[in-house]
Amino acid sequence: MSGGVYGGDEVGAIVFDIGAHSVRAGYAGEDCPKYDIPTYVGMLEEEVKDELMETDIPCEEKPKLPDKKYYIDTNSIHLPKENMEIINPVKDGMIEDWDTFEKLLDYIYTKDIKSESALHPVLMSEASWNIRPKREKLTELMFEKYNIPAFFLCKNAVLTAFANGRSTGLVIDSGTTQTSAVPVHDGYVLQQAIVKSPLAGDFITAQCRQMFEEQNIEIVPPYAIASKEVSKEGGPAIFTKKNNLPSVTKTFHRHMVNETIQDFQGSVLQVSDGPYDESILGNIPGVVYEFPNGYNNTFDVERFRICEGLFDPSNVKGIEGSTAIGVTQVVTTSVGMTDIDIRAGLFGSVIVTGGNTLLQGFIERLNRELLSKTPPSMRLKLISNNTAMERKFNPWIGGSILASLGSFQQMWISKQEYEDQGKGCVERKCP
Amino acid sequence: MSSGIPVSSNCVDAFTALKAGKSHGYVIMSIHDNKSVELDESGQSTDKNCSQADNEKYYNENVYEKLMADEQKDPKYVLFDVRRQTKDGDRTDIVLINWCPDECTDSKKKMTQSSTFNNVKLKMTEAKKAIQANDADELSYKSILEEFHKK
Repeated sequence: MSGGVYGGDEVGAIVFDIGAHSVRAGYAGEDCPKYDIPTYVGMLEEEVKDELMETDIPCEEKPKLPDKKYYIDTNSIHLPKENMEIINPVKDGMIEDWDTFEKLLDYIYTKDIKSESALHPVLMSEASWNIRPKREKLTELMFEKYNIPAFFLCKNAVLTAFANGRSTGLVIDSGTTQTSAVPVHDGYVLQQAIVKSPLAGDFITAQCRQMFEEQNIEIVPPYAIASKEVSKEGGPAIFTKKNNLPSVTKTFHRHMVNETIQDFQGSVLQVSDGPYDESILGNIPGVVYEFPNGYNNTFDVERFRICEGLFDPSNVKGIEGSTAIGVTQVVTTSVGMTDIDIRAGLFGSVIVTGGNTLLQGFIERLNRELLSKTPPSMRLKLISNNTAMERKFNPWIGGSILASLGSFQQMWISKQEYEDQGKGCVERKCP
Repeated sequence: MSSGIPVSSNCVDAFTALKAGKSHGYVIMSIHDNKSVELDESGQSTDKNCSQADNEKYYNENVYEKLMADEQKDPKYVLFDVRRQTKDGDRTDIVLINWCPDECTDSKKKMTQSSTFNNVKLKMTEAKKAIQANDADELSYKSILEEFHKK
């Protein structure tokens, strides 16, 4: 044991769950994360002021790095600013842009948590396929820059499985950028059997965007709208654009359009029960949706057709063929790569999580397709949390409970251990 | 990955007693105050040459029905001597069950239960099978027997 009391209620540990879409943060022991801020960050490169360079830095040949200004959290990234780019430090579930990631952490510590980072142990979730150099770099960052007293890094699939009452199970996570299947056995991830596919939330957004282009529907995000009036169904939108908007960047506009489309996705789209069949689905009443600029229309079969690619990518255009496999196949491929002895245990506990699984009909379709793929000797059971909140925050909630346990203190990497053994200790302590 | 919650010695003692027992028996354990795994109750049948039907009845009365009657649906760890027929005659094997019902609404209990199961397993490695049961069907005597037929 590494001395000192970290966990427990005495010194609140902080739990971070880093996602491609948002970062969840809050104190261990609480029921849900207090802070849920977008991983997207606004970044502005400012001209370097010459006078400043002359006075501050003696005339050595320093490269003139542009001064970067960051805008973080929902309100500031939604405010149009000239030249502000929207960037995301997370790629493939892993931290890619460390400078921006640090800015996010700085923001959370100073603006949200408002407490010294040196006072609180940190438990962080990570993608199950995170790689050693990144894990070590993160450990180093937390101890060296934030000076935290203790650290723990935990695979999000394990946290999700535990939070659903299972030490063995298959975690299928369909989020913003990808859908993944991660087998967990006795609380450990079976690395070699992880399967990923890019068919997830962003893919659906791209499909919607394509459909709007084909139907000549212009998506005007709220930031550009000054006022709107009621318009006829299917008729042209009657609205006025905001004057004197700064000239925004492409990434900013795209991000705002995507958010508008994501709202459409959540309200209109539905996954069909069985394979897409226009003659049957055509009889289902459509759904009316009004866009921020007042344009409104009824969406019929297309609301099923767009989702179909998630389960049957054979007709999908514009994505790389080899890795883009349907959700059901992601599950079956992953199970197929595990030892035959544990397959029954995985089929018996398929845990469904991630924001994209909130699409209406997603779970029903997955259940139906998996049933036909489950060997007759095995039993299939899908587990999903009922509320959107729980499904989104599963790993955070799991981490929150673990980090608040008194007994968990022996698990933490203490500052002392880090100093004695170096960053490599994360591989040993947090397998 | 584990919660670090320890298994108290009374559980290990009960397991040893079960192994040494001449007849069949059961042990029920659970996590107390998020601090340790403690013994809740245990028992031994006096019937020395019981049939499988007796074994099933004993399981249902002492384990299955008790856990089903719990309205809180609290998670428990269960040890049980399963009597089963093999081609070499009757055998008795101990199974370790991680009973973590999906109906339990307390996510803290679920989290601690599942993240501590490995610790329990490590203390009771001689148990022939470790079984995860999350609903009534998986806790049934029939399902437990089926575990032995799985490869």
